[in-house]
Amino acid sequence: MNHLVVDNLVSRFVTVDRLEIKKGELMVLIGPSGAGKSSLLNVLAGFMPHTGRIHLGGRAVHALPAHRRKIGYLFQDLYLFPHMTVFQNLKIAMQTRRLKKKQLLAEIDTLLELFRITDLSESYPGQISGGEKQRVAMARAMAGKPDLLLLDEPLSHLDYRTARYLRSQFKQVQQQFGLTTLFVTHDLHEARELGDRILVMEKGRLRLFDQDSIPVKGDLLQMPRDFFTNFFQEPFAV
Amino acid sequence: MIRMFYGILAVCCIGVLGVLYALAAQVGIFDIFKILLTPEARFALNLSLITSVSSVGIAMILGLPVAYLMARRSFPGKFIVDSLLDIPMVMTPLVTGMGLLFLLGPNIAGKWLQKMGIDFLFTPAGAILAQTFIATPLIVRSVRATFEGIDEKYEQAGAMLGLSDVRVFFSIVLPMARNGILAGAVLAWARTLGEFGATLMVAGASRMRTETLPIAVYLNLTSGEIELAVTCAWLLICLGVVLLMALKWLGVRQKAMNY
Repeated sequence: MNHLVVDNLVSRFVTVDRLEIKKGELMVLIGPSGAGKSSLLNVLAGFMPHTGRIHLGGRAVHALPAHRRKIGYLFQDLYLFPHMTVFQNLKIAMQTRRLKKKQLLAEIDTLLELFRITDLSESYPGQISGGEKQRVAMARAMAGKPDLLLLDEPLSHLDYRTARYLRSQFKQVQQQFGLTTLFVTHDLHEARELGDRILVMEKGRLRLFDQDSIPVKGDLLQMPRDFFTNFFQEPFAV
Repeated sequence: MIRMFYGILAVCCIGVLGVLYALAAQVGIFDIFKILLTPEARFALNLSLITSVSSVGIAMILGLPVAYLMARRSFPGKFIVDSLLDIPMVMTPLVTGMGLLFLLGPNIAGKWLQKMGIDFLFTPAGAILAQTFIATPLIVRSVRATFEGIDEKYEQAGAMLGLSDVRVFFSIVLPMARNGILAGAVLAWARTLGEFGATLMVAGASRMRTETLPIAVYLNLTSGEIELAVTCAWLLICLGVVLLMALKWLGVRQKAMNY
């Protein structure tokens, strides 16, 4: 069943005729810089004016302000609140759920454990490493149990090993929570490892690929020279 | 060349020390403590603290929303509004006070205020009003720069956690801007403590009625009571130095936080 349905969405940098994401699905959005990936996330989040319809879990959210859409957003630069500890960053993300104190604390503990950041709960973002910040930001994005989670190249600043570890950790938690997710990346390895399906965006337009039809390194040169292969050929030719 | 610069630096320092010495030479340290206990000096200190704290408080209530709006939103005529907000900063306080005097006089807003039973002219409330008028643009300018320095994405991150505009403002923006806001408040407080021209015009210079510390300096200097005038001047200097230290400390903290 489709959880996110976007129809005839038109914004300044993005046009989407139709986009459907199933409940609990991890859809990866990939494309070159300037293709409009972040713009699409901003439109879905409610930060950019647009026309068209967005339905999320049966609710029409296109006319709602950002804070009422129940969409989580993990920005590329994370934006953890620097004046709050890790614990407080998670707590504020949960406050709209109006949980009882005991349950709130239990859920924060669960998230801290899932992302292995229990030891950091009293630290401020300025006191922890890049990889740790990434884990905190992921935990915070999930803490509010959003209907849709948007991630804008969250692992792009990290070294290969840390990024790989966090990818697997994220995928595991995403499946455990059953979170419908749209994950933006420019890394094809990441897309293949994470995505149930892959969307490719170029010049503000989307094209959908199933996992099976995603080209692997060796096949790329044999594929027809459409925009997809043109886009991916360059990084693999290195 | 650097030697010459050191020379100029020495001249500047000697100038400041010279002024302080000239003031110190007028009255002995024990006399200062004795004069501080006189009713007039205590009244002036109390009134100065009450009017300056009140005016900075009101200026904060007015200035924070305006600063936020100017930092974050675009609207038609923003450039004109921006310039308008800066005008009180380039106006001589005496002229500002004169404008307020005419505005609150019997011809324009004064009649209406009188009907409401509000009297600003030649009362301590007038001193608060004049000082608020001087302090608000300072706070707007200082806090606006702080708000502009905070990446708007923090607010978007807050919205994506389901926080309303109000909640984002109070839980995220204000705490992040805390040091900048405090620095603006300290700056405005220092300015209002020493405010003379506008206060003189609106509140007048009535002994033991609208006598703030600068007014006390003026009244006692003109009536030949030099020791009381100098004591009030030293009070102003001491308060100013404390505020200057607070400002420097906040500046260091702001750099250390590095949002």
